[in-house]
Amino acid sequence: MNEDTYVVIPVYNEERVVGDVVRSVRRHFANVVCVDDGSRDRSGEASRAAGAKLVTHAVNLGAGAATQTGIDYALLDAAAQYFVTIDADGQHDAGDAVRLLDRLRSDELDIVIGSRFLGDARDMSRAKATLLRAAASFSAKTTGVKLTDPHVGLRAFNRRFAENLKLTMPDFSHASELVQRIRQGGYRYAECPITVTYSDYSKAKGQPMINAVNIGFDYLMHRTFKK
Amino acid sequence: MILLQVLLVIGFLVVLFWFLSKPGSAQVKAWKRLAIIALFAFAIVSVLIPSATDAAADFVGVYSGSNLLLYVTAVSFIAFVLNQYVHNSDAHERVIVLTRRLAILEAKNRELAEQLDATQRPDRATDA
Repeated sequence: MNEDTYVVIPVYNEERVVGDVVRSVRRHFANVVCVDDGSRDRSGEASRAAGAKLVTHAVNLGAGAATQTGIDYALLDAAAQYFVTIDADGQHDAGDAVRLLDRLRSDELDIVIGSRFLGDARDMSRAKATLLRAAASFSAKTTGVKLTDPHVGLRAFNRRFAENLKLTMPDFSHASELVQRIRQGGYRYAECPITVTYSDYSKAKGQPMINAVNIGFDYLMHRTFKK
Repeated sequence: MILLQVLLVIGFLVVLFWFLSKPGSAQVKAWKRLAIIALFAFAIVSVLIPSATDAAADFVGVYSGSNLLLYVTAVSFIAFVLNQYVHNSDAHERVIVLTRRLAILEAKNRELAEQLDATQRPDRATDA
């Protein structure tokens, strides 16, 4: 049951849904790591009760930092060959994660990224779709890596990519950083259509759209002063 | 005088970029301190001899001394803000590295303890 794969789930205040997410992922994957990013609720206990391995940040650091912690943890297992990241709020479908992984294995790729636009994004607001498309075209122009949906949380990649990922941008800007790594390392990448369901819960919890300003600003500052 | 203004703006940007690109180096630190001292000196001179700022303004091609003062203050403020931003993100990066190490150590520790517990439990059962 995909023993060579680790599924990394960054978790922040998802007590209500993370248990179901872990259980649905564990139907396909033996190794599930939840990184509790300093949640104020009982997300950590809920993840563990559902059968995930738990790594807990003492303070909240952001989704990017939590993802990287999960990958670092998984890399300690020499048997880990493939890595999948998936959101904790239940918007992704575990079956899609399996499809991404199958594609990664069969096509000899380094990374397969889900796309809400090739697939089916249910109940996505028009404003959000427009913003995401704009962000995608900005990302494609600045990095040269052509993706229709670079800011999606569902991805699968191999060990070589995981070892060289080293995300330093703590927040949601890490998605742009990941795309940058693809360009820097010349990795073989592909997109795979996925279905995303925006429940009222995930809509209420999701990042406000104004956060795009923060992501853009952090990304530019990082590029200007760090590399 | 327009040319001089352009050169000044480019000069400011180059210095700023250089300062921020390697914030930790001793050289950059020293220049930052010299810049602060120069700023102090400029402030004191502008209070004691107001006409001197006009002369300085005239020299670099700025309309008046008070304008020059405003530009210098604005540039210092922007430099300060960017400096703080870089410092903050450096400090934050350290927190991330430490928190990550701690989190993974704790997780591995707990797993080890659980494994140990599982292997010892049958012994306890036979002892009892």
